[in-house]
Amino acid sequence: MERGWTRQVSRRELVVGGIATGGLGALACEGLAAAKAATPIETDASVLRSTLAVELLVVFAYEHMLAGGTLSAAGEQAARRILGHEQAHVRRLTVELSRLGATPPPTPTSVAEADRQLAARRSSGRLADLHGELESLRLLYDIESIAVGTYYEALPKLGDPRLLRTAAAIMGAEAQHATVVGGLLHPGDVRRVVPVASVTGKR
Amino acid sequence: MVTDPLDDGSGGSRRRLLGTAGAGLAGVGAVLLAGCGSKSLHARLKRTPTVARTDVEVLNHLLEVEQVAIAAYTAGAPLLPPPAARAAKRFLEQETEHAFGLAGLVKAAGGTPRDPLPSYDLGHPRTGDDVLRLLHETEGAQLAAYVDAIPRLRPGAVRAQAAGYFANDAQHVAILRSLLGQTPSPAAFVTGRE
Repeated sequence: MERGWTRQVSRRELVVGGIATGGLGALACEGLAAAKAATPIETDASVLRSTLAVELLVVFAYEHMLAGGTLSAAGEQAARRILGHEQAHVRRLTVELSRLGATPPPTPTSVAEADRQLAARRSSGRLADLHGELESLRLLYDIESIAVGTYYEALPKLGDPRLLRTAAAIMGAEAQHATVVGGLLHPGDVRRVVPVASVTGKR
Repeated sequence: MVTDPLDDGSGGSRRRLLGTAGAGLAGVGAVLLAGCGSKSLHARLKRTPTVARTDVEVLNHLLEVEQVAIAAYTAGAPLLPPPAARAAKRFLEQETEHAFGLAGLVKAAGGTPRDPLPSYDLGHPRTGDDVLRLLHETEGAQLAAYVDAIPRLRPGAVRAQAAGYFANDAQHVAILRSLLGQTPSPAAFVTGRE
């Protein structure tokens, strides 16, 4: 049943809808962005596979960071708790992908491979270049922003309501992780820790 | 529009404030709306995506829960000690942006945004921690409303916008929990019931 879910908005639908409502100005902005994202048609499985690929990258990064010993006690405690959440996301998404008859994406097998994936997602840091806690936390913040952005892009595309609830719940957790890491980077500075009213992540 | 509820030093003042939190809400919202963000109204309107008429009811429900949060922050922020009050003021600005954005979506769909109620029953918090618990509960209700609403919204930009507000409210919860001495991010899946 879930295999039949596909994105329900195509570029054509948005263009026709925009013209019909006289919403050309709006279409030129966010509507067009959604239309671009909606081509070609993706299935729920392909959207979930993309989110799982990011989760696997996030898990790899946290494990590498924790093994490297660059974090303080407080940073390590937070990272271990967050890693547990990320692993739970991987388990849930793997199950959901399996239900859809799809195979999970590969896990990064090396720091170089993980860094290539991070660079492809416009990360400003590299796992290979971590020399202290500040750099580590900055990279973790960047990684959490990438995770948030992944779900921000996935949610408009998913069709199955149950998967939508799951993806939203994970996006909320990633946003909280960014807040936790941001709090370690900027203690007590709520303007920097919660900087914007609409959290869209790094895309 | 917002007066210092501690001016007369009485609990009665707090009760009055919390009991009638909604009375000055429209004015507070108007002031904050004028100052929120750096983009012009024209730019904001231009960015409003096309919205399906079928989304109006869902968006108006989200607007209602945002209005409750605005009332709670408006009433509660002055009762908090400085660090928590700064966070609450920040979150009030952001909740107001959410309400502004949701109202804009409702209008874009040809609907009428629901007005805030004249007042909200927010209980009788007496201490800073009482207020933080109230705000935590209010934010939790918002998260639950968004998790319920997101699958009901049509695919596309409107759903993404709701998701952006939801994620911000999840961040508020993390900070409020920290201020209460609790784990900021307690669960791998944020549903508002943590």
